[in-house]
Amino acid sequence: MEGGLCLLGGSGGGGGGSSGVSTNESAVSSEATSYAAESELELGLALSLGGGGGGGGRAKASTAWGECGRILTAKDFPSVVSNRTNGVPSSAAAVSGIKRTADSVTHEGGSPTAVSQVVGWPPIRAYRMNSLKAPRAEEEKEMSEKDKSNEALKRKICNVNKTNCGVNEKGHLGFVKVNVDGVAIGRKVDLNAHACYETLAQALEDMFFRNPSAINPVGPGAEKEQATKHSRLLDGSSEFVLTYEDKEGDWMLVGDVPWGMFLSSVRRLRIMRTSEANGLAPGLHGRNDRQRTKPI
Amino acid sequence: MESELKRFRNSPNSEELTRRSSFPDEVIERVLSLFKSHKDRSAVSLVCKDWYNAERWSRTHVFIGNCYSVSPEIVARRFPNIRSVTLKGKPRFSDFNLVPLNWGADIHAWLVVFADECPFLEELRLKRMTISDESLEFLSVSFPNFKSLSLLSCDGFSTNGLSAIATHCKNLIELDIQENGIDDRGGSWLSCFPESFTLLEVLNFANLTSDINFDVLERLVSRCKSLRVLKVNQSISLEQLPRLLVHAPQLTELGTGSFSQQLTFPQYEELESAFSSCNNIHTLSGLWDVKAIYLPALYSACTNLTFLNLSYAALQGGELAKLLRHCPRLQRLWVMDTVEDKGLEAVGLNCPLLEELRVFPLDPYDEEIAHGVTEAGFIAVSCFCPRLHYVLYFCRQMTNAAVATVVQNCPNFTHFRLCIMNPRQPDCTTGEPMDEAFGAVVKTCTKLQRLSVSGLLTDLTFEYIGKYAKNLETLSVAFAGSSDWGMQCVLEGCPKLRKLEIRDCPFGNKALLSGLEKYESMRSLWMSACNVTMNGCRLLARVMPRLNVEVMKEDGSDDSQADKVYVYRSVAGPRRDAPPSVQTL
Repeated sequence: MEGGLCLLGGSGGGGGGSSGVSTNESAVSSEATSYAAESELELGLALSLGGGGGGGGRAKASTAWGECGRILTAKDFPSVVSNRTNGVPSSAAAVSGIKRTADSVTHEGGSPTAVSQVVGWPPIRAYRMNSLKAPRAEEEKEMSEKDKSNEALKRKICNVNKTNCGVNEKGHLGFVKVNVDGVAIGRKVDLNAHACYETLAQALEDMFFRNPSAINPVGPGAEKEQATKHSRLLDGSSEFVLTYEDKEGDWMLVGDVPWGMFLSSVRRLRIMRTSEANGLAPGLHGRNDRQRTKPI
Repeated sequence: MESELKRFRNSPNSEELTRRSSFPDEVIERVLSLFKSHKDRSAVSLVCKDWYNAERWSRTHVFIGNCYSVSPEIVARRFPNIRSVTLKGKPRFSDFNLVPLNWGADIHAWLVVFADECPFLEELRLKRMTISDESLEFLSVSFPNFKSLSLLSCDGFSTNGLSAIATHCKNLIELDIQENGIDDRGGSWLSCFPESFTLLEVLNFANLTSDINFDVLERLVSRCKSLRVLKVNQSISLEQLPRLLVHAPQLTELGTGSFSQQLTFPQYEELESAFSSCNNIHTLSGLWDVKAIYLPALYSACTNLTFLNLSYAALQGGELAKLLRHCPRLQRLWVMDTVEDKGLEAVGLNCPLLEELRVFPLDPYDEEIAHGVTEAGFIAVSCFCPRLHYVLYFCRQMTNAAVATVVQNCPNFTHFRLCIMNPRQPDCTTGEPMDEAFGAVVKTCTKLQRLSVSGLLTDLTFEYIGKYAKNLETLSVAFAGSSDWGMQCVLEGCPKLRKLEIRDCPFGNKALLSGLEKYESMRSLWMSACNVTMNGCRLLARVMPRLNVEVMKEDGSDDSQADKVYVYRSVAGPRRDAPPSVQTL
């Protein structure tokens, strides 16, 4: 079952100027909303949630992007109810985090308190959405024509949604989010650009703990934002460890499983302080940069 | 000239004869030729028949804000000497995928007519139009003097079309491809410019993602000595950039490629040196994947910068601050919200001449990590930039008090576009609707021409708009209002309203029909996901025959609901190229 708001929903900005919009939306909508809101509430933390659930149409959509888990927060339970009198049943809207039904593909149904649910909102040009997320064209060259159009479509679908969609079939979108504790802004890294943990860790270190040795005097303004030098993230000698969230929503240390297995299950990465990574257990640690609700 | 003069003298009006004799035609023409603005020219043409004729024969540039408001035949007949045409097609919400595929706005019919009637056409500027490769090819061979092509937010074409343009347009000086839904099939189009071709002044292919042949580009840049605008795509690396810049120190607008390659020290020095010889740059953009440590290479070129477009560069606040210290003359700044409030404070501190600020969200769907900008950043800029008159601000929270403060600091807003990204979100400190924020905007900013509202809004917002926004021309509304009354206030109260676009609001037939007389003075009205019914639209269409009332229905919706409505005035009658999903009533 999919978790919360993070995936489907509005294809605002999705299919570029001319292509694939309706296809997008039908793929999106096939992710039926029939998985129950109740079960999300029962589980409390709507971390995802193994197979099952959803409708038959899931299969098609779920290959396009993976599942992701998400902890429901107070924001998911809207206090402001829409006064819209659209024909779409508003029961679905009572708990946000419900995707639109197949019927209401382009209806802005109910009371959307989550940005990701609404078509064409926020009002940002499709071109901009695609440019910020799509991988460069060279990566497409390795693919066949057919793959390319599939990939482009899937990329558009991915672009539409929260991009925790580290879809890692060969040649497909391999961007995953990376967050560092203490840094507000996350980045994205292309897992397909790496073939092993070493290069990935190196790239992450370059990205977040800027390595100034590449350029010597960049001028008096050069600074190292991270005061401490960080040795490698993988060998445990650094103040930080590299962890990842797998498709079951569990946070694991990076490096334990073979690279290929890692690729197929990683959803996103987090560089957390070693002190907080003790006893990494599924769902209990991590992501303290977000509000958490622990119902029941 | 002779034939034009004859037209004046053959006018049958005797009163005009007497008047004319004291006002030679040559004088009228001379005077009219000084009018450039299409609004002025339209006014001039209404004075009398003579002036109408003088104006139409002397008009060289036509601006058509809605391609369906008039037919190409009418345009070509009225203005036989046009050299430049600007056309806008689809409703603006098509940028956000709200308009069905194949909706229309195809340029081809226009090109066919112009090829016959106005073969000396030199310039075509399209926005939100559909243009096919065949059309581009047709264009390139039908107009021997063709000089300028600008495509913004268009679709339907591929790089093959660009190849045709590069191959056949011998007099091309401008090729400007911006933010289009282009099918990028590779970079070979660039190689289609003949080796002897040297006229290019504007080349913008930042839109495209494919690699191009760098040697070809380098040669093109080096032989086009008049090149003043060069905006390359991401495939051009930091190492390659200096090799372009050294050939074009005269550039006034530069769009860099990717700004993130790992450079050696000599390469960095080369980059820095190349920028230092570019003293004429006033517009800078690109900077894809920017690595902030390389930004100092740019500093020397930033002294005269008036427009800095960092909307694809995910800089952090501190990084932006350092850069802005070198941009004292900045008037327009586009950034991503990764700079956060701290970055906006730096904007205020370093850019006192700022007139326009646009803040784009890096990841609008992400509610987890990115904090973006808040009301604090907005206030900070307004405190130090009194000349600010254009803002586009995407944020996740805002307060009424903050907006009131901002407009108090900057009362000269002409364009105020605030997007609180969560629909219907109230004031984050008081929990109240954002009515007072926009009330403050319209009360204080008397010159306001364009307004986009967001957040939790009741009819009160629209009462304010109707009452105070007397210069308002464009209004965008989403997820707002409580009843028909809101929309009525706007339609009855804003005399200069030209474009009204509404989505997901509780406005129904009563509101729609309250604007009956108004719509003929407007360019267009868009309403989607509101409470308008088919019957309401039919009534509108019946009562106002000079309006085109188009309805787009969605699968599975109620038969009586008019899901998307697009109403616009037209002298060309209902259009004949609408797809099945669009119904003209």
